[in-house]
Amino acid sequence: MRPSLNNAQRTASLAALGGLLLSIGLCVYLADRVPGHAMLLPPWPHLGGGALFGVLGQWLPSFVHPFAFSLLTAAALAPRPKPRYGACAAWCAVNAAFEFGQLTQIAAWIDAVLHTSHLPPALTRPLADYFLRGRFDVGDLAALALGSLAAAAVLQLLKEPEADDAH
Amino acid sequence: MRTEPLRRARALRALLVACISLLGVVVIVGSGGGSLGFLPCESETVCNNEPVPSPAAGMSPTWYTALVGSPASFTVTTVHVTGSLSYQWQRSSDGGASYADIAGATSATYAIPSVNLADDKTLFRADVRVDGVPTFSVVAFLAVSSVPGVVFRDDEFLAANWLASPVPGDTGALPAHLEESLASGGNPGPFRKMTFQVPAGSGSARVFYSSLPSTYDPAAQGAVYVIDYGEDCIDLPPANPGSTQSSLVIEQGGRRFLSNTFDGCNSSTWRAGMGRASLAPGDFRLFDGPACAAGETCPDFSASAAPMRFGYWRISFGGPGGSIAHGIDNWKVTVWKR
Repeated sequence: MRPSLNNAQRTASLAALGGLLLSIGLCVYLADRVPGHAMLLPPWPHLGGGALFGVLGQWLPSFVHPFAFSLLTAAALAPRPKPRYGACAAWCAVNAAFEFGQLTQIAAWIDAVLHTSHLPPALTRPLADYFLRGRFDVGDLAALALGSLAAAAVLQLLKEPEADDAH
Repeated sequence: MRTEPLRRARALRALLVACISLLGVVVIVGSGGGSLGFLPCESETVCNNEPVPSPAAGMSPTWYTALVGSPASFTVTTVHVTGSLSYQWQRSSDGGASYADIAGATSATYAIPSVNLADDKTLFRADVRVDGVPTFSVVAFLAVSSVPGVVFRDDEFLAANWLASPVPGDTGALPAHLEESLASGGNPGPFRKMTFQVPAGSGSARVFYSSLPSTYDPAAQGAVYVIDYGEDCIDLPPANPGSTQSSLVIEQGGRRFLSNTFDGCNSSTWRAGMGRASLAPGDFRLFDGPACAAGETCPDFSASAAPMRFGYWRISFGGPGGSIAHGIDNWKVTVWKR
């Protein structure tokens, strides 16, 4: 049974859920990951390195990221199904592309391209670090696909009953 | 009448979507993403947001000359690579046009217990897979000779055995140079220290060194097949790190040839094994002397060639007037006949 909400409430729900999911993802990094190993992870030794989320914590960020950003993007888009579902597909593709980029062969190629580009080092260095230092994982691919599907399911659940692309 | 607010709302939505998209990508990159996260730190600097070295593979040796009946082995090494590595060695007898898998050769090292003439001019290629994905391909060349090589070597560097010829700089001025044969501090034992002063108006100092006893006469000793060259190099105080390069010199018929294998010392400790094996005429370029005629092989390795004298060449880069010191030890040239 779908909740009875108006457009503004639906948008607010999507944004709130997206924000909540992002907070969960942040908790995984702060609690379970080694500090200082990523650009946005502060190197505070009293944080991280634990196992608060257990095994799930391994793939939770990959699940949460497309889930949360699909909802946030959908909240920002016009309340029509097509672009909102498109946001889910787009975030799935973006996350998958970044995951495949961590394959050694592709990472080395990206690194070479970044080195020869004329982009500022402040931009190229974190990107090169991400691809070279990150590790490709099939589990991440599965998690991000599930995250995107979950976002689509939420959109379906919160869809305006009479909404269609004719609007 | 509703057009303007509608347009504004659309623009606001587009801006919001762009911001969210940018934030999403920043979060992916900034978090490291993924279940496995980042690799363990290779060093302190790597985890201090220093640039991460690129993964790479290399072959050792890349060029090798062996006597019939002697062993040869090639090893592929990888750096900054994670994941499970697997190897498949292949060989090519047609200059690399086609390769065939070598049965059972699936480790990082491929060893031939006893080379024969059928292995001459063979290319050995290691295809390296990381987690099953073809990632690197590195090649080595093997030359085989049926006759032991003629070796010229010097690890004492007595002044009487060497002739130094400075090369004029950009302004025509010759660089000042000082050679000292030191009894210790080499790799090991005695070695030669050279100190160059970069001439005014120039950015480098260049000096040829000819080994007076190291002459090979193809007419009397036979045609040359390939030449192996090796030396140890070190940057010395007052050094300009990484600024000195070295290569093999052949003097023949009034011409001086440099091998195209310029190699930098780049080290304040002895760097052993600089140089390259299996050098052929095409691996040299004429530095000075009469121009080579069309169709002429330069340098000439044939049995009718003029005698060739060996030496080495050093070029040091630095500011005008700068003093750059470097050393050489274990200078060795091996002339292989077919």
